[in-house]
Amino acid sequence: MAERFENILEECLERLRQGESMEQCLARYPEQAADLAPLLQVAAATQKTSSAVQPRPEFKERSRYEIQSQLHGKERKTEPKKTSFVGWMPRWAVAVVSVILVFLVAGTGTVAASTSSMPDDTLYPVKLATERARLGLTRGDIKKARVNVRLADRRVKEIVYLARKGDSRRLDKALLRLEGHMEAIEQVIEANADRPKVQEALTALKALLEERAAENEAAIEEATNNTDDPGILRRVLERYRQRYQSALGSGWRGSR
Amino acid sequence: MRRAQRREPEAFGQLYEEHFDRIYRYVMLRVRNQEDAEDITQQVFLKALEKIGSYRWRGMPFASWLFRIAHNLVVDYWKKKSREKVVAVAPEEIDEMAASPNDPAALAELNFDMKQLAAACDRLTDGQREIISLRFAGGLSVAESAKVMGKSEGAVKVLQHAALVKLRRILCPAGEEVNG
Repeated sequence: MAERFENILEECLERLRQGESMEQCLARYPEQAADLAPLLQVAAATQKTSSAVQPRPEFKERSRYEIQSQLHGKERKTEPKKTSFVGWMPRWAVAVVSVILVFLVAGTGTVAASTSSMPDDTLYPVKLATERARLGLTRGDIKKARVNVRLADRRVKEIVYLARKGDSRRLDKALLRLEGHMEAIEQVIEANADRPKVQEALTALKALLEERAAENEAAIEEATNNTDDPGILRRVLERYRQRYQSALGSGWRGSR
Repeated sequence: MRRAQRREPEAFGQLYEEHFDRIYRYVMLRVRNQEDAEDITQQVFLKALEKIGSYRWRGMPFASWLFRIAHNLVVDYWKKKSREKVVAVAPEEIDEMAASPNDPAALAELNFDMKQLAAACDRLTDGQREIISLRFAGGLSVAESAKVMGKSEGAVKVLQHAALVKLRRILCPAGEEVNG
């Protein structure tokens, strides 16, 4: 019971953040309204008071200058180390573990069954593990990025599904995963932008990303029109757009 | 992000502009002193610049990573000031959550200034103050806040609930009408 109230409170806070009025929010939960109202009031007032706080412009400017001085003083002294997706494991170990995992699980047919599973299914962790294995086994940054484009498609489908079910908790997690895929794609595009040898593959990757983004955007927009809570999906759409536009970069002139 | 990790001024500048005000607001609410808040905010970005090469996604959004740096600096600050308080939610606060002295129909806007809010936050546990600062000053989601605090999302929601109950009691004691 207590756990459920915390979830309701968080859902109402999210709805307020999306622009819903307090009255509308409380009307959704008449039984909890008496407990919710004072908490939502104090949350709204805290948010309002906090957002009025601004750093002094001269401090912000001084701080910006300090950072810029540091940046210009020692540019590119530290190149990030290459690590595997598991992080602490060497690359070969990731590959071996991934192969074992895939073969062990694939034999039972569980992998195939998990592919279409959704975040509230029991097989969903298998789906995620299989995806991680697939990424680990894929050689080359650009090929990995293409896999991430496909995995982002899956996350979008899951988000649409969760929005229909009104499961905002799992939706938030799926959104974080989606952003993870998009960030990984962006990192590959940026890292390879100046490498003449891979420009053809990079252009193909961007075209794929643009094509998938158009379809995914349309799917999210359609779902927005068919849900009781369009605010959450609008936020998803906004963040998704920011991510793929950032990945494509300002210089991209694709098919659209 | 990759460009920022290569310390390209334009890319890092973008991250700076995107997060600076939020970090400042969070720190301000945590330390309640403008001079110290400015000092810590600047340290956050200098530290981020120093460590950005080691940042990896691994389920940790960049905003959470940055707020984690801010959180650690704030903790160090209070250690130095020897004013660290209890982090866990006290069992008796669970009972407090059940009470709701206010009428839900009375939805008049509640108002208080930063000084009152900071004073009220001073009476929260450290964990409660942290979640209020992350959520409402820093503008992080529950998932992002959970990453900063190293807690589960469920635990963060419990903490958020306790914090709001207590904040409400401090700012608007039972029987007192809200203004507006």
